[in-house]
Amino acid sequence: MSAHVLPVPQPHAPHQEGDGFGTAEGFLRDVGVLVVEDDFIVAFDMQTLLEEQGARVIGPASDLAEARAAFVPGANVQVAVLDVNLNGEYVFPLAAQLRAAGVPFLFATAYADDDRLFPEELRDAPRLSKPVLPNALLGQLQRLLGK
Amino acid sequence: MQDLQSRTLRSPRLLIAAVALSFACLLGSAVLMWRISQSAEEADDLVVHALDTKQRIEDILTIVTAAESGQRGYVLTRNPALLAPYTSAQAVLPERLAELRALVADNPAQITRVDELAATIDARFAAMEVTLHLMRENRMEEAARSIGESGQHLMDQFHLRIAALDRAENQSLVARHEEVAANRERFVLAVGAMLVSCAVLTLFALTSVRRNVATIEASRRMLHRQNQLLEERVRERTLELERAAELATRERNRAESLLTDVNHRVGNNLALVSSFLTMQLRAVRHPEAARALDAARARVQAIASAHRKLRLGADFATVRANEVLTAVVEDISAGLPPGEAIRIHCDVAPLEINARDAVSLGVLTSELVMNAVKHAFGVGDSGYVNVRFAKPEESAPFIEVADNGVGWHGKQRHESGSGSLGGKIIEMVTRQFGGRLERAPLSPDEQRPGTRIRIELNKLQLVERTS
Repeated sequence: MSAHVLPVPQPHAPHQEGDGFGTAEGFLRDVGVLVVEDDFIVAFDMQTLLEEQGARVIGPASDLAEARAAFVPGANVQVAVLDVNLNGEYVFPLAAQLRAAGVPFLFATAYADDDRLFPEELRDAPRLSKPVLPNALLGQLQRLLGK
Repeated sequence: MQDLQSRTLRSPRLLIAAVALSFACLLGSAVLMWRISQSAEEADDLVVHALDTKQRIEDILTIVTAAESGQRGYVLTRNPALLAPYTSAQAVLPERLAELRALVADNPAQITRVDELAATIDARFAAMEVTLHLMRENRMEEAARSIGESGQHLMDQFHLRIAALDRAENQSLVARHEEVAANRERFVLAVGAMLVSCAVLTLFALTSVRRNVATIEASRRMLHRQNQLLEERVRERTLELERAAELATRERNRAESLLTDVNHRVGNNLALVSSFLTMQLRAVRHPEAARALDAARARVQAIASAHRKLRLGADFATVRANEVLTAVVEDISAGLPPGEAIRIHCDVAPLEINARDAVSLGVLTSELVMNAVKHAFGVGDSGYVNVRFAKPEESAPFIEVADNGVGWHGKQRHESGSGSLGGKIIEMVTRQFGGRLERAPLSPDEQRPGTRIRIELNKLQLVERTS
């Protein structure tokens, strides 16, 4: 028998439809979010969601080279959302780079349950399985940014 | 192998013949030697016998000569003492003659000679007796004449007879000696034959031993060769098996990675669908339409949640119910707006179910939980939703979703719109599992009675866990 309680934060917001994170004046205001995602439609959806929260989206980058080009000191990346498989190449080198630079990140991937795929040093990073629900993504970003 | 068999078959036959021959030879030699030693003994006896006989003849000669000399002396001197040998000879001679006769009993010629000798001796003694008689009557001249008449003649005859007897015995001795010499030759011959037999036997024994050793060596070599061949084959076979196993592993890994890839694509495609629904959700203004699209997105999410657990089961054919349902419920929980005060509690037995049933069960659970979350609680209410999945001993597995909300009669207005579609989905999946839905208040006496929905899943197959 497996039994566990799923955590649900703060008991004050309304629970109806809607994201509960507010509008363009949301918690991601002026936060630089690097989005790496090779599927343009999913990337666009994610970009829209993040911009609704006031985020400054960097990318979306659809491959590793593009992502590395976008991750420069001037871009001021504060957090990153990474797809794992970018048309056959893995995003892990960039993840290691982000880790070295102290930039928090999360994986948004259909491989979320496949532990063996992830390098050992990156297994502690949060993973969201696709399809990523808006609230799940925003909640995780909130936790990563400590807001 | 052929050569070895024929050799081992041929050689014993030859060997046995040779050994048998040699043994026969040896046995023959032994018998011959025994017989030679027997006849040598006989010859020795005969020699002793002959010498004995000669001794007796000598004795008789001596006695008779002594008697003759005594009688003559008496005749010349008339001294009676000189007659003593004569009288004792008369007493002894018959006995001596009898002994001699017994000694030559096996030789008829000698017996005749002894008889003749005895007759001569008798005649001689008779003549001597006549002379003595004449002397006793004092007829001296006559007596002297009688000695001269017959005495000399008889004595010559006596000597001849003795010589004949002795000669015969000597001849027999010579014959014995010849026989012994012949025996010696035969003995040497027999010993030679024995030596040759022994040599032949030894030769054959040596050859046989050498051949056996050679045969053993040959079989040892052949065995060694066969062993090497066998070892080589085993090595080859092992290598083949290893290659086959390697191939199988590679194929399996390939299949697994293909399946992983396909699952990944399914996940990505569901993400695409979800993104479309989200974009559409943003585009619509009507709240009812927005609610419908949100519900659709939640259903896609439920399918995706169940689907990503499918590949964790053995052979991808089965999956554990607790993995699937926990993923579904976790994703619902993660998708809730932040600040939601509803706790979702999950109590699912780790029963193995078929992969094809997993998505349906996930969808059913999602509908039941979403229904409870959306309709059982008022704005800002806190509460809980409990999900249970179990298999009682005597009946079919069931799923139960219970909340401590307002109760199902209290919120009639939610039975319209997307809620009615949810109800329909629940009804259809229930029917698919051959189930029956029971709905009852959780605690009827309280102000918030809550709702408990329990569905028995009669057609849900549970798979025996193999590992």
